Amino acid sequence: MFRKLLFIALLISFSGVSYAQGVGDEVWDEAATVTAGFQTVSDEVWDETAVRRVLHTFAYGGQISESTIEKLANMSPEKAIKKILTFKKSNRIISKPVKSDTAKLWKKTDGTLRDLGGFWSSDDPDNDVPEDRRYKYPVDEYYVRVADLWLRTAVSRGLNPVRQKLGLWETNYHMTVNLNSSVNYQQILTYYDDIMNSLGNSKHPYHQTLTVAATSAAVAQQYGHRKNYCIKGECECNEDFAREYHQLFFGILGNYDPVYHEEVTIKNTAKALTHMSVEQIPGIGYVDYVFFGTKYHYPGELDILYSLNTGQNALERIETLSQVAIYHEESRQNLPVLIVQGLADDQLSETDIAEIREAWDSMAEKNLLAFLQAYAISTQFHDPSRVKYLNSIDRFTLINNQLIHNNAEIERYNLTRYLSEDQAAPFYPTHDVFGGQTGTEAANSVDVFLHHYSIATEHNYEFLHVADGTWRKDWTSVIATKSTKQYLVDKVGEFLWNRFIGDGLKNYGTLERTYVNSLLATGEDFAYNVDPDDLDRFFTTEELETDRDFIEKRNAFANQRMTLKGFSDQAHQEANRRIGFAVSFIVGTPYIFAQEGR
Amino acid sequence: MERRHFLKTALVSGAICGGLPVLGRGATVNSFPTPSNRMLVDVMLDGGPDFRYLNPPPFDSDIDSFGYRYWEMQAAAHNLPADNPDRWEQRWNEDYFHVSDGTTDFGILKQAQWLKNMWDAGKVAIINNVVGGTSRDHAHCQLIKDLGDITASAGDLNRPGWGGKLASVAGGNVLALTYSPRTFCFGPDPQNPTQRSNANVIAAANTRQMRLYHPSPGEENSRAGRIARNLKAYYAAKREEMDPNSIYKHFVDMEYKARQFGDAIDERLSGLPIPSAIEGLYTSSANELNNRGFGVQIRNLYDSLACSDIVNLWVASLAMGGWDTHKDQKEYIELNFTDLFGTGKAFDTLFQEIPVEMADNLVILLGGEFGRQLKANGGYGTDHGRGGSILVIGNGVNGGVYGDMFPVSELDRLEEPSPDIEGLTEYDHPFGQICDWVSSGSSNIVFPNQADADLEDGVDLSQLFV
Repeated sequence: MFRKLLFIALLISFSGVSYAQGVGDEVWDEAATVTAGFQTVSDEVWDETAVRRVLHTFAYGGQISESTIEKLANMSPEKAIKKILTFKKSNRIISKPVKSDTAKLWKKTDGTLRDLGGFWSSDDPDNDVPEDRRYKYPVDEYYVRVADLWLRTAVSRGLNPVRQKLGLWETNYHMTVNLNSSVNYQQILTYYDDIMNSLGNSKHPYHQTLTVAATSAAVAQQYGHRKNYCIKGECECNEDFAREYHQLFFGILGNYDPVYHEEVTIKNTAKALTHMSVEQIPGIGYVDYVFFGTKYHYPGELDILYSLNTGQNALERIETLSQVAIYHEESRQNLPVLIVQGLADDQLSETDIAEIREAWDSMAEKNLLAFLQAYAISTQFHDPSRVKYLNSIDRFTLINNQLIHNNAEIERYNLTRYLSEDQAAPFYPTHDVFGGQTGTEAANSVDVFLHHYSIATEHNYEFLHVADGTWRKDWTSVIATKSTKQYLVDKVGEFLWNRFIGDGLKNYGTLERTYVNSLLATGEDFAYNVDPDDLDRFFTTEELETDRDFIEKRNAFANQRMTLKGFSDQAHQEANRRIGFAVSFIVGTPYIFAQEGR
Repeated sequence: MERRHFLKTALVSGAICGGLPVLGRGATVNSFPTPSNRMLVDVMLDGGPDFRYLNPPPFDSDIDSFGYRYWEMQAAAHNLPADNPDRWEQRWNEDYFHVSDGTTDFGILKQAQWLKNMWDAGKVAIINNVVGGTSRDHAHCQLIKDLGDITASAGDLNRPGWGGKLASVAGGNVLALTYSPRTFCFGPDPQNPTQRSNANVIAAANTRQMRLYHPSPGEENSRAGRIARNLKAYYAAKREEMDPNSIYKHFVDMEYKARQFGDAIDERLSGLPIPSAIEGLYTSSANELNNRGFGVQIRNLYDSLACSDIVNLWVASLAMGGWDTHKDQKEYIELNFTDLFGTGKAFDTLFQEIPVEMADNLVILLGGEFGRQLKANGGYGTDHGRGGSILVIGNGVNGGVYGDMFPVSELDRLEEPSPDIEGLTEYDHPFGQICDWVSSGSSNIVFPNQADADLEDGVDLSQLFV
């Protein structure tokens, strides 16, 4: 009894005015604001590099022009972040269509994977997917290429890469379901789209999104509780999701009272999850929705997390339970940390964690977007100590986004590259319900390194392919004339480094600059340019900075102009190819594998 | 003593009949180096395996007996009716080998023929009532097992693993044969021993592709070749120049390792074709594993042993998922046990393809992060339980049952919520013994708290190895 009273007191104290007074829009907006914990960076710190870091972390770099980055950097961080981080179906500030992008995806579709797949596989005259590639995108067939569909969505201009980043994290990491299990393609599509539609509704507190996931057919299929029934008072259940609902979805491990959690909360949550049928249609398979029955649902009150859980069916119970779970002490401690770790920081300090918890606690109504917006402009996010290792999806999608300049080009590139070999294919998470390949796992995998190295070297064709009968690669569509001083090699090199690495040139030292400039200026590597008969020579920074011949050569390369505009077609192609060489080198450096704070 | 006598007798008769296994038959021995040290092969069974399913008690018609209550409580997990003892008995009689250590009678699932053979040869130790964790949380308990420390918190992600510590003490390396190294593999950072380091970890998820791309002769200035040369020279310079505390140093080191070991391994393995039986484990074949990925790991292990002198191998790390059998356990777990222990499957094949002297220097440890509950659930599976068993297999192992395999005290707890096997022995003891066998005296360093760690009454693990 004491425990229940204590819990109710805690619930009231942390749920703020919204639960006590009813949820009105104005009240809700206020309740969902982060008012403590994070300290916002100063306008001085909020510069173009800061904007890039946010984009690299939350938007795979975005599909954004240099001038827009500059504009965002000139705004206050509070104003800019609301333009960068949204969960809307389209954010054309960071995903800017170009003139050749005939399909206005934000008008043609509702932004869901299902609708986008329908469009990209259609004969719509505005569909810019080549006819011979449309086979990849149908969503109403037995086999749906969900990974291909997601990858195209993440790099398509006119949509919102932040939405896809969060969508993948929620469905492949935080609340993972897995096509390698019994979950089917339609269930996965619905799962992803329902979660993102919920997150995209700014009036939905976060626990409602978690409820959407917890009551989905995909989760019922994955964990098997679709077969949990209460028969004659006996729960014929498995406890799998009853445990993981608390642990994975909300971060409640049960440390608050291990015996109670094990013997009461989990047991009763299993009962709450009874009679959630997922119908199997002969010849079609399992449907993508749950029937919440009452006949075999556990009747009566259930003691869960020291609260009395009631409901006629599992849906009602989970809706109620999620409101309780999100304010549970362990969830308040763990869930926001789990979010930040998953998305942005592999090396959180105790101080960082304390700030994160304080920020989360300061929101009376938990709102993921508001939380991430506050975090992304915080001194913590922009602190040099922050480290995020990129998993293979992050790395490849970042590269794809910076390499692909318009939607018509997308199918020219192999978006999946080594994702399967890296065991990182979207929707096939390597740890089943515990999520996909993490950044630290990728960082520790020689296999991943070897595959990536191979892309930069042996298989760098995609970087170097610049023309065919109907198409020309045109880097001038993204390289600004003014800021590169009419395509000066040194400035183009800096542009490329920032575009792919995004560190404000922090790690663009003499070595890097020398190799990149040599490739941009001549298409040959520096060793070749020094002595074609000594190709295996390597150079130290010191000799590059002190040897007169080297200095002279480096300066000559740096001050050369690239033949990107106003020259012959052949010269254009050569300049674009040299950029491809430089990109090969840049993405082959160690700096592509991780991001730091400032 | 009786047990050993029985084993000797069995070995003699087995040798005469040709029926007992010999660990490592040396089918393709020529390319293997002579091992210079003992090696641990750790196989993590992710999800928490139900070893009681592999080794159940004999059916007993006495309704108060352990042998009755087990089958009654676990009938659903065996896909049997809950109220039909005849079917339970039939299951026990038809689907299990009946074995004994002289004191405890138990079964071995018939799909695990290799394990049965090894048991008969006295090379299998079953250590029971091992503490899996303080919680029933997969990630936390996996971390506890990887660290070999029951006190580890869920946030101790940067601490060194006990496999890495062992290799570090021994002055050797851990080969991580999984797609990414487990925490188990990382040794201590010499500058800060409470933190982990990757200095003695060689990640080898695909031993047949460990080499960085090199341009072929004449291709040095090809489009691919020039970038490869560029990067080779660049990384060589960065090795000298990069701040050792930079987060990117990790990748510079990785490039170096790949270059250093990749070429040597590639050269060694180019003269060692993959035995067809090993290759069959992960390709379409008669002995293909259900879990092909584990077949690849066995191939990696075979290759690693063949290169053990190059890589200074002391510890190998493998893992197999699919043990979190909440639903339809029979369907999934039997495939897993078959993959591991079936005739012509993973370990049977491996030990037929490696030299005897290599096998003599191996110890295999199999276990998951915890066990399962004493009662099957309503989904024909089993839910998480804290205590469980581990298997230690090898020519140097003193086979037998360690710890009470079927504690009668469990019967009194069957009607409690979530009853599970009581963990009585902490990892420090069995893992410490393994450390000492691999590298004498290492357990004091790897498991410094062993003296204070729990050990089941009456169990003497100092006899774990011959």
